Amino acid sequence: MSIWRSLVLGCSLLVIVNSTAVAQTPTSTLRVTKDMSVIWRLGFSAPATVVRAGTQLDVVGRQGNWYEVIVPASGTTTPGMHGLIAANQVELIGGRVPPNLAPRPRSPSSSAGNGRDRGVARAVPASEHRAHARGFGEIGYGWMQAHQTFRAVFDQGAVTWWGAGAEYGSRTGGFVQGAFRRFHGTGERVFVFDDEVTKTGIGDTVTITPVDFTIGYRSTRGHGATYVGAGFGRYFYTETFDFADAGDKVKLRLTSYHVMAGYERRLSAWIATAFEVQYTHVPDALSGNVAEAFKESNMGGVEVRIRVAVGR
Amino acid sequence: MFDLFRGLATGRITICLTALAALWLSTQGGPAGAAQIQLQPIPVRVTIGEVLAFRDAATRHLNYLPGQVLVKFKNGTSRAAQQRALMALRSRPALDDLKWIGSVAIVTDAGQPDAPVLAAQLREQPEVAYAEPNYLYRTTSTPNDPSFTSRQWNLQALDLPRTWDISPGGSNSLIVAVVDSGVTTATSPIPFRTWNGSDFVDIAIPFAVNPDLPASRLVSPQDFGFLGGSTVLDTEGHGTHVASTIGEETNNGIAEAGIAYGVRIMPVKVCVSYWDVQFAGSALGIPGFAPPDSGGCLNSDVAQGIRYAADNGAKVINLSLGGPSPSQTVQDALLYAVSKGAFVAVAAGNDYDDDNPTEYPAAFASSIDGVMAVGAVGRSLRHAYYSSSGPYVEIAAPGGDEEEAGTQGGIWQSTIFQPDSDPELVLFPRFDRYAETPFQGTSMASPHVAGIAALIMSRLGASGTPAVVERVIKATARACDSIDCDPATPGVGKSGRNDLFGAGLIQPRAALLGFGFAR
Repeated sequence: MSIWRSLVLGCSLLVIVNSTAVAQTPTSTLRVTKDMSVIWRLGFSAPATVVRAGTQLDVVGRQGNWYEVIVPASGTTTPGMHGLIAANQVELIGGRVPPNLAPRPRSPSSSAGNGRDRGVARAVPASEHRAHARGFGEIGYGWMQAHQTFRAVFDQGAVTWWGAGAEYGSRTGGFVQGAFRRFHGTGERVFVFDDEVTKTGIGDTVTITPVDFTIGYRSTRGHGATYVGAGFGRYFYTETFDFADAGDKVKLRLTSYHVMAGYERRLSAWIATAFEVQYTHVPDALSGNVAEAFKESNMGGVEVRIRVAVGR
Repeated sequence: MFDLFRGLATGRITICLTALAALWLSTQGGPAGAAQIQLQPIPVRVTIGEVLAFRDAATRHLNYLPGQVLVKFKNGTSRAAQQRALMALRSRPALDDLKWIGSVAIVTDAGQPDAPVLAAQLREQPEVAYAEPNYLYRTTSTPNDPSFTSRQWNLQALDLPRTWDISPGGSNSLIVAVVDSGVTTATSPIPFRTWNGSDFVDIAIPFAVNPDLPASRLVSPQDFGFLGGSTVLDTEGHGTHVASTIGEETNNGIAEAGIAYGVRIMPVKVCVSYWDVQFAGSALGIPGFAPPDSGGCLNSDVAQGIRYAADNGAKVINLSLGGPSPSQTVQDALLYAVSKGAFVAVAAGNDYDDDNPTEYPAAFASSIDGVMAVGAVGRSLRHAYYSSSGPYVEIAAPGGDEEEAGTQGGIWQSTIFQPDSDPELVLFPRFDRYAETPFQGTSMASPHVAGIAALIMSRLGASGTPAVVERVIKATARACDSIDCDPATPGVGKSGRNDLFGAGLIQPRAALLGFGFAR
């Protein structure tokens, strides 16, 4: 697959994810504990309505000490309208505590100096960690360290990876992650002498399946988070070719080491996307005429990828 | 005389019974015996002096033709200056009377039979770039006891059946030249004059094309021996055996298999046999029998044959011949062939246990990308006892080893039925019967490499240049440490190249498969 096809597919995934985020639905239910509690319009520009104790509200999200809820229908509200109610005026009766959302943009009228408005902004911490567990899928584009060897066989120096994995994050910002990726491609067997490539016309099919484990640290700020990590893994490598007998197939198990860094953007309570860069070192993996001709033996390289994570 | 057939004595013992059967056939009104009729013997192109020189060389065990040298003048030397240089010789030959091979002249001086002296006289002339005796190379194999049992261990050892899955016999458009004693293209008896012990007789000598290497597979034959022309006659069997290893018909239910059975074979005769010398001598009125070891491969003919093959489309050339004398003329011809896109396989020589002298033209191979010197292994894939060694050996291939495994350890291919033409057994030979015959020698190893080179070139097409083919063969060779190349010499041949095997044992399947990403 070409890099362009990969990028288009990745972007399409992001659009779908964003659309999903826009169409989010309430996930928790609150009950009002104090009579005559005020539900404020978003941005605290004005009260939206006043509710009695015992009223149940659907929660959309949380902003510090405030819950974003769907305002009960009344003569002054519109159906589906969102508002904010103080956390100490309600109790959670269904679902989980919703994720902390950054303050929504305030209207020009409310930016004039509403004290409660400023209070909400202060209530959102600069970096907030929560324990989380989620799965993810990803698509990446990698530049092989043995790019000359790879180019000789596949006529290109880079590969497209597909992958998936799972991650658990702690309240301290640390996380552990397990993932696998896969490359499958068919090139042509060759000879290389003095950097000149001679094709044999015999197809050569390679499947690389790295499985790796990462330990890292995440720094969250609002909806975004930057993270770094490092780890190790195993490369499960198979290679076969036209006219190959069973004994000809190459099966390798290689140890890999990697470091990575990324930026994640949460799109909703459940879904986030990330852009990640990883360098992988797979020493002493390549031998034979081609790799020796180019003095390359490392099967690793640099990969950039787009990730979509689902979970909380 | 240079030993033409190594180990001939042991071979003689083993072929004795079948030879007697052939002798009986010839005395029972066989083709040779029945052919003593009024015939016009075929003319020969050689002179009495040249035939006598061949006989003289055999008698005196010379490795050159007496009274003949090859001379190359320096570039830009005028004809007048060239003639002046020739005036230094006693016979003062005229420039216009000389035969030329490219820019090399063949100079004959009957007054000075000592060719090294003749060459030295010419080298002293300022116009001369080099001058050398016209050396006689020898074919490098030993015929063994015939057998009809199929024993091509050599092709099994090289995994040819699986190799043919990738390249079934090579391309029909690819031509492999066998520069050797010839491959017979005649299909009917040819009249020759010979000696019957007391008088000359004209007889029709039967010839036939090898049924397992049919005429449709033979292309552009040429004789640079005594007859000349486009009809080639193998009166020894060496060239036919070599050609059979390269391209004998396969999957036809006849005899044995050849490596590149799809390619076409160019028979180029540059080696003359005992019978060639005998027939030519009789045709020129020289009475008696030629010495048994008469014959050889004159360097001038070898050089012409190589150039002819390259000029006429051969992309692979096999040279199963050699000797201890270097020849600039042959080296130039090798360079010319490679420049024309021809890969050349050369037998490394059979004198390992005979002081192991440096062999030529094999020794030129290491300095020319696209020419490979081939050593031999026996059935156990260990060094064959005779296979010459040295820094010029670049690759090893099966050549047989009768000391190790008797005739079962030879290379079995279809060639002329040897007892039909043994000069010690028959007066009137015949060359129309073929049999599976075990030979051994680096002569047999070299065509393995030539055949595999043909498969590689067929697969790679235009990118399969001679230099690339050589590198492919070396890069995929089976290193000696995995075949226990030299158990008698600890430490030798355990890794990398060595003087016995070069890069190791040739691996045709690997050479066709190439390399993938990881391996």
